[in-house]
This record gives sequence, C-alpha cells and structure tokens, in this order.
Amino acid sequence: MSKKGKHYIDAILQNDTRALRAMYQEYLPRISNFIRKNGGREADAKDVFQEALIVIYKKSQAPDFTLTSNFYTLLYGVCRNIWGNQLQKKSRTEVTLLDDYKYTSVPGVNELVEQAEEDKLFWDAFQQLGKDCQKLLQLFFAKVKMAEIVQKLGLSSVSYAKKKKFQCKERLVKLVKADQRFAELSQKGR
Amino acid sequence: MEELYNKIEDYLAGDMSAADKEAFEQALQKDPELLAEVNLHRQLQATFSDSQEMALRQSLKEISADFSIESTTPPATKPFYQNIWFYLGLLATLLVIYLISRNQNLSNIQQEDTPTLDTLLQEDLDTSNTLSTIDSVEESIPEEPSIEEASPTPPIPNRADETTRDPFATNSVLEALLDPEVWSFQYDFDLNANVIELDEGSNIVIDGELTSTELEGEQFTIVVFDNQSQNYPSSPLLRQILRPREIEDNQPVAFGGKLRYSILLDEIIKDLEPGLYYYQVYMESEAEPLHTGSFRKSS
Repeated sequence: MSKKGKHYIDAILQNDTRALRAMYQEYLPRISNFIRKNGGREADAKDVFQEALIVIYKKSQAPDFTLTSNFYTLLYGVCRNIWGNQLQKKSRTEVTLLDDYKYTSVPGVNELVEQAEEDKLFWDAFQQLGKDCQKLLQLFFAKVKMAEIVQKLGLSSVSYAKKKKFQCKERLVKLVKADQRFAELSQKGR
Repeated sequence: MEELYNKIEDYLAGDMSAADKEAFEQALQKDPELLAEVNLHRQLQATFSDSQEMALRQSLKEISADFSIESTTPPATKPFYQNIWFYLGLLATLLVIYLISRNQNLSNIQQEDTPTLDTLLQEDLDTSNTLSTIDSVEESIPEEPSIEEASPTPPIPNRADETTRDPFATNSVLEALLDPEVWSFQYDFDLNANVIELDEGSNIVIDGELTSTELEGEQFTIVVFDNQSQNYPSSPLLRQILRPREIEDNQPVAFGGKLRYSILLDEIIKDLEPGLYYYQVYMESEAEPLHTGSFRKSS
C-alpha cells in the first residue's frame, strides 16, 4: 500500500476532516470531469464522490482489506461503477462510459455499490428530518438506552422520548416511502 | 401505529417471548404488507446503526457543501475553489467594465448623438430613423457572459419530468413533511394559510402562533412552493423573512418556560394560478424545515 493511499484510507476510517478535505481538493475535479463527460452535472459528481467514499469506508473495514492499487484507481473505479449503474437505470440500452483514466475493475465492489444506493435513499430521507429528530434517531439506531438519550438530549422523560422517537421514525418511514427510488427498489424485489 | 412500530422493533431486537414471536411470525407469513414494513425497519436499523459511518457522512456532507460552485474548467494543478473564485472575480470585473462602458456609450450617444450619428448616417436618415438606430445600437451590445452557458451538459432524464402537471396534484415529498404534530422539540407552529382574491392579485395570508423557548432575535424564513416536484426545494414562488412578535401578557407555557409568539406573512402575488401550494418555515442557516403546511387556491 502506498503511503498516500494509506493516509487517505485512514482519513476515511478515522473521519479526519482535514485529510478528507484535501482528498476532495485533489480528486473531486477529476471525478467531476469524468461525470460531466458522461452526461452528469457537478451536483451528480459530488453525490457520486460522497457515495464512493462510503463504499470505500465499508470495503476497508473488512479485516482482510489491503489497497492493492493506488488510491485514485480505487476511487475512480468505484465512482465509475456507481455512475454507470445510475445511467443504466435510466437507459434501456447498454450504457457505454467514456473513460479518461486507465480503468481497472475493482473486485467485490458491485454488491457494496448496490447497497450504497439503498443507503443513499435512506440517508436523503434522514437529511430531511429536523435536527432534533436526527439526533434522537441516531442515538436510537445506535442502540443507546432511552434513559441515556433523555439525559443526552435534555428531554423531560423517557415516555416523552419514546413518543418522539416514534414520531420521528414514522416521518422517516413516510419520507422513504414517498421517494420514487423506493418504489423502484421494492419492484425489483429483494 | 405506535404499537405496531414497538412490536416490530421488539421483534427485530429479539426482545419477544417465544409465544409472541411465534404469533408475530405467523402474522408475517399471512400479511405481505407487514413483512414489507418489517423489512424496511430492518434496513433502516442496519443503515443507521453504524454511528461512525453516520459521522463520516455528516463530515462529507459538510465538506461537500464547501465545494459548491459549478466548475466549468477545473485545472487539476491548482486548488479547485481558488480557481473558481478567480473566474468569478474575473467575470464580475468584466461585467463591471462592460456596464460602465455601456453607460458611457449610451450617454455619449445621448449627449452628442446628432454629430456622431450624422456622420455615420448622413445620407439617408431623418430624425425618427436616428432614434431607432440608437435602440439597435443598444441591442447589439453583446450579452454578459453566463457561467451556465459555458458548460453545455447533455440533458439527462429528470425524474421530475415524469410527474404530472396537474396543479392540484399532491407532492409526495412535501406531503410526507406535513404534520400537525410537534415536529421540532423547540418550536411548535400552529399556522393557518388563506388566499384572498384582490384586484391587485392573490393575497396570501399565513398567520398563527409559534410556541418556543425565548427567541433572542432569531429570524425565520417562510418559503412558498407550488406542487411541482422539480421546483422543490430550489425554486420557491416566494421567500420572506419572518420576525415573530412576542404575544403580550405572555405566561410561560408548560415546563421549559416556553413563550408564545405571533407570526404573520401577508403578501400579494400577481397571477397566482389555481392549485395546491405548500409553505415551509426555516430557521436561519438551517437546511431542514421546522414546519410544513399547505393551502389551495380554488379555480
């Protein structure tokens, strides 16, 4: 593993915002070029970039993970995979991507990319919740005990926190169901 | 509904007696809707359980927001944003120069029009023609360069295009945000929206109360959208700053010393089409709406 590659993988694993920022500066313009060459916009590039980093985060958590290529090759491969999938969904014919980088396929990424698309749908819904709901649900999903949640968020009681938790989760479920992508995913079956 | 959620959560957490579990599983086999609901809850739990991933997503979102300007030509050698500001600065400078020179041109024409234009158009123009020539001189000045035009992107199919144009159709995303229940822990809105037809246009009145802990000069923004999904959240019909006014003789409400404030939006929009509209209240600098409501203008 190259030193830089290890540095960036560590940044992702440790949520090192300074290094992550440097990564955006170094690579986002290049990924953005690729996306725009293939019918996307700047906003698409940022979405794809972000999802790719999450995919790499998940991949690098595996105990047997080692970075065999240089970091950009991995990043480009994952972004290419994500964007290719998205284009394919909108098109009936086989999509051909215009590459601007010597591309080598990354093994074992397909499944993670599919998963990432589902996660993205949930995450987008989550982002539409109010700050308080986000905090509460985050603690709830991390299996923090209700009594502790009450303390952390300064709520009045456990029963109040439970009621809020239900309201927030119900809203999250509604938002997910209202998203067209959810219908597409359910149709595809699981 | 709340009971159902609790049941599903207990089931997924393995927090059920053997008998309850068996009964629940039997119900699952008979009821595909319940099964779908359980699966969704399982997926949500799986997606949001990794707090480290949540923190990473949050950081990426924040970093990503700093790289927010459409780039037209990002050279890979220099820091991305510095270049963008450089181009924007250049653009602004050009625009200023263009505006100044345009003003000077126009005033030159206006002040000295007879001699200059006479020499140009000596032979065949009378005074009325001279006036129309001034117009066409103005029109022929090139338009200011636009950033968007500089990057032609191939059109991609937009999800919004598939939705109906029916002005009364519900917008599913906004509908999901509507809720009479308290939505934020801190701010509780109780608002009513009405449209009153006046000669000048449609008068949108949104008024009511906000119950909240003491507001220290905080400002809210109220935004009105039509029902078309491609317009939410980027293209509102109306955006106004709201300044809640404390209701006098205020007694703190319940625990937490909450106070009541009155809220009023009173705006006239010309040519408001009949249809379904939504409004949202935002806190300054927050991306998530605190409150969402809807109203109709009937045809």
